[in-house]
Amino acid sequence: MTAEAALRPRRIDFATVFTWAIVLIVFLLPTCWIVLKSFQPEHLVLSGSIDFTAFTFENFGRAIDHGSLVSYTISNTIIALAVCVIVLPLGFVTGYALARFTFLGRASLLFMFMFSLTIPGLVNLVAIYQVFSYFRMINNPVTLVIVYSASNLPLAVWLMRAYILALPSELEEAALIDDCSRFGILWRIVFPLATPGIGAVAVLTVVNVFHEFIVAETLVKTEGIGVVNQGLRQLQTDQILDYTGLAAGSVLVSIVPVALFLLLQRQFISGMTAGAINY
Amino acid sequence: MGVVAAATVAAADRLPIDKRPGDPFPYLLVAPAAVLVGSFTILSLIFTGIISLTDWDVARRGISFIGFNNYVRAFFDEELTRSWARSVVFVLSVTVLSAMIGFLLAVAVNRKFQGQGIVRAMIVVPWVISELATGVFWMILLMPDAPLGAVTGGPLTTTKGAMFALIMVETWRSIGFAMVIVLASLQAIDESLYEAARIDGASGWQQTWLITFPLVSPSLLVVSILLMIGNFNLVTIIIALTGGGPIDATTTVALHMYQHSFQYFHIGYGSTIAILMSVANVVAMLGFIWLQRGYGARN
Repeated sequence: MTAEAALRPRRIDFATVFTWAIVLIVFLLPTCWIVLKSFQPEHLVLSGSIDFTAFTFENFGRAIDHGSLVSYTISNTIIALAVCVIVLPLGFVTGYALARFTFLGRASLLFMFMFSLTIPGLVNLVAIYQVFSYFRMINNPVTLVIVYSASNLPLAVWLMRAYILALPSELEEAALIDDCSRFGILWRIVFPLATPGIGAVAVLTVVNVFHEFIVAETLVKTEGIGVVNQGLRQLQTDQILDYTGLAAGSVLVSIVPVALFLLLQRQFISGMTAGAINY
Repeated sequence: MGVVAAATVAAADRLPIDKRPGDPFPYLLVAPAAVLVGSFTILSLIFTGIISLTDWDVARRGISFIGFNNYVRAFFDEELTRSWARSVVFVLSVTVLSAMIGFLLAVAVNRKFQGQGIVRAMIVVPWVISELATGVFWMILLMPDAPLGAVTGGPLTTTKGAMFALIMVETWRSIGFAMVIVLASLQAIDESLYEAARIDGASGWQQTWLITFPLVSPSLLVVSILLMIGNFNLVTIIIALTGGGPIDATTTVALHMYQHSFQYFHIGYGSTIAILMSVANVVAMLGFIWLQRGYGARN
């Protein structure tokens, strides 16, 4: 910061320093503290300083072991990809239909997607549990794929519709005149133009699945199958006094979402604002 | 409700490709998603509504319809009433704090300064970490013997402290979300407004409160409604941070519902609470639609 200040003195004022200070102390310090503590030996977890000579990877080994994190990570990744396979194409074609066609029931359909977008899944969980238990699908990861697809579709549809609305329609009209089939238009013209929007939906969907806990905890109780947060919860309830292991676990389950965010910030931010702004 | 929805969504759509009525193609495209989403939200709601009229309890045999008895029970249930009160305190505190701090930070990072991108990213990172991981690592930070916990007097061990800590942690997580939404609408403000204000001698603080705040207040309201709905239905972070305790000091309606349905298996009564929560959600969402319409009309 001081080096930057020397380079551009006119932009350093009280407000800038204040913003930096607040952000560093409030947002960066707690997360950094936990990351550093996860590399410390167990007896140093409560000390007020970081001993850089005593760095160790032991905590991560224990966290992976006791939390079945390898198994949960594989399972979570497969579930996230399967959800994408369902949500991306359905979100794309539905968003396209809602952006470009007028048909009976369109307004009610838009209302339904917005309704589902604003109502979180928790209140439906009792019903979902009973229905899947009737079909003997509790403890089955396919259940999670179905539930996550249904809960991620409304935002995907909403985002794709907003994205396609912003695209010019002249190309599609020209293709229609040139006798291109309607599926051909969808596949050869709209799809290539809409790939950045589909990318944003993909990032959001994957991050959402890596964030999920309560639905998986309720519907799947087989150890090692489900989402990574269940592994972290297993650590929290089984290894009550292993705080460094727990810190390591919380760092490990955050790697995928944080990395996706830092690498694909633009897509991520556009997904965050789409739910609230692009109406 | 349909009319309201039509008014919100039909505003500026261009529909150039096809205007033939009764054309099956769009129905073909929307059908799979509509069936999947519809069966989840609408059928689940109907199913939950029916169960809420029964005395379904896993501990007993047989299920019978008991009319609105569960709703009467909910009305006189003092534990549930206290959970509602705690939900109100929790949701309102988190919403007001996150929206206000998110607004101030959005104004702060909207100025051009060194490291603007890094600062923005750091504020959003807590929103990117999962709720469970956030709850778990703040639990470690706030343990009575840990440095931060010792300074603050071990908040998680006292009833008031636990609620206060829960509000602070959830606010910490939500500020980034509020900031991102406000920032998006800040960037749409015409720069010439500020130039005019500067010529008239307005201070930076006056510019923020007299120009920026009124212009972004529609998006602040949207943020508030979304945060209200999200936090009202939140259980994960509470489970990780306090488990609803000490005793029941941080048990909100959402957690109360979850415990009845999935720990005590009072499925009938749990469904009743779920329906009451849905009503609260729908009220908040109608407020959301109403505000969106107002926002659209003003522009």
